[in-house]
Amino acid sequence: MSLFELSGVRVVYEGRVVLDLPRLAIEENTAYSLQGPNGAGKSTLLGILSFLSAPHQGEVRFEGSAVRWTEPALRVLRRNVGLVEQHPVMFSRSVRDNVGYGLAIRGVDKARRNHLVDEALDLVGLSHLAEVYAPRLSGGETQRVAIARALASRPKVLLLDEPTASVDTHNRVIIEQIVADLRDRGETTVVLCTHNRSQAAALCPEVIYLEDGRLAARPASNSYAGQFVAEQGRTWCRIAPLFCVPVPQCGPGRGRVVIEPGAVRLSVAEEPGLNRGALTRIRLEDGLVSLSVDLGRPLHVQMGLAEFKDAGLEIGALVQVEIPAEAVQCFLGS
Amino acid sequence: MFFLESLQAALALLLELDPELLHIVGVSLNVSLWSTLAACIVGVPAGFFIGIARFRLKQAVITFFNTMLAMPTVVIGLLVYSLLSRRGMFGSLGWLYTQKAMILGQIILITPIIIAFTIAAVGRLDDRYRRTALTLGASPLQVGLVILREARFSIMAAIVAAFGRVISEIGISMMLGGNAKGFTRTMTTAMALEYDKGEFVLALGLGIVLLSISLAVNVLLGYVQGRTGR
Repeated sequence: MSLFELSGVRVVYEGRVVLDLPRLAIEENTAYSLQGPNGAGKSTLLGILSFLSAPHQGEVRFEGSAVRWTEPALRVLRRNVGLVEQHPVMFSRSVRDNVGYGLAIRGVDKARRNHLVDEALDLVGLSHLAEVYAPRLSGGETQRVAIARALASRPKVLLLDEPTASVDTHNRVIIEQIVADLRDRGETTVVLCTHNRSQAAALCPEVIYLEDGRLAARPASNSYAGQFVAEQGRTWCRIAPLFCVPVPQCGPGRGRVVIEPGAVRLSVAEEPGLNRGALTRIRLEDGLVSLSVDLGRPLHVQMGLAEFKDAGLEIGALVQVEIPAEAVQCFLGS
Repeated sequence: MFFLESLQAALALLLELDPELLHIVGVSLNVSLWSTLAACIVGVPAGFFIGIARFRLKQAVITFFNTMLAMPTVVIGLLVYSLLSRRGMFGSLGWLYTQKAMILGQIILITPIIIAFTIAAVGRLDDRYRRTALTLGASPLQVGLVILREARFSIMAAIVAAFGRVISEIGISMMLGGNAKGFTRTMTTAMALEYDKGEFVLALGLGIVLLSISLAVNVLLGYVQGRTGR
């Protein structure tokens, strides 16, 4: 039984279909990325999954039961879901009171509430800010407290709406780590709405990709698990015996790398070697040439038509792959 | 020179705690505080529910209360007078020329202010507060309390504005209170009377008290807002 089952769900605004999902299932304790261009229907879907807005047509089932879109029924359902908006708002109280709000309205006694709040704040690394007046927090801290607030009540689903879109690198890394921890623990379903494909590929094994309100094919992504090793003063991630990428910003250990397809350069090679492989696919997509190279693992590359013609590439050709360090994002431990 | 002499005499009156002046201030505060309290009891919940509710004639209701903000005090005085006069619908109550009549008139004056400002305060509040409370599992009542809490300083400002309006109004106090010495004489009606008599000392003393009360209330509001960091 899936956690969420949506069938025939349609949302129409001013005559325009903004969401049209013949069928969508979201499984328990799995991490999903929710991707798609602006206006694809991501926020509308999050609204339905958080039980804040009803679809105009279709059925939504939660834990096998059809959702009744009445206020008393929704209140019970909403207590299973935590939603963190892109720009979360803090109640004008302390961080502790904010994080404990969901517990307080559930009638959890103060001692237990404090314990759960401390746990949640510990998870996001902000225990030291428990007594601070919440609206004074920075953007990144606010985002982390909002995650703690959503998690304190132990929801079955955590919905994150672009949680790292407007935070600094330090907070982004911490938030990504929180999502990775939740995914690894496997106790919560996570739906991460993001425009960052690399982040989505690294954090979420499952993808919901929307285009014009409809489910669309998952776009190719270069996401690989590998071992980070330091050699000759530089750190590399070895993905396959002949597939190695530079990861200067990551220390040694196991992790995951995501390679930006548009930043990879290809040239014809004479003989096999490191980062050399056969060109297995060439396709024209939206004015860009999409290619696949077999390096022991498939590597997706995108380039302009003029650049493709200049490179003289053809199917089956042996190519040298150049991967600049700035094209690689690494995620340690994930 | 004349003004400075009057001001000096007024300050002396204040420092000596002149009994007549104190009594007038007491009547003003009594009437204004009771009318503000009663208007709050009616106006804050009404403004709150109009602000958060969605209904067909909402804009018309808001326009009505905004129009009521411009209602002249003499019109209200006339209306309440017609109800409370001996031949009026409620003449048997015997409230005319009492503080009760003044309070009633002032309630009619400031309730629309509190309602209109509360609607604005609730309407201006970021909708994310409502959504956040909902997603955390709040009931409609709990969501309402969150909105009320987050809008509290704007609502307090509305109450302060309403208090400022009643303590400084003169039409209702004069028409419904009658400016009876020792009973219904307020700061504003006393000032008008002293002006008619060409006596500025008491009028100036009362003017200083009136401004001081206004200042004190606003300083208090600012202090509370500052203390809580908003």
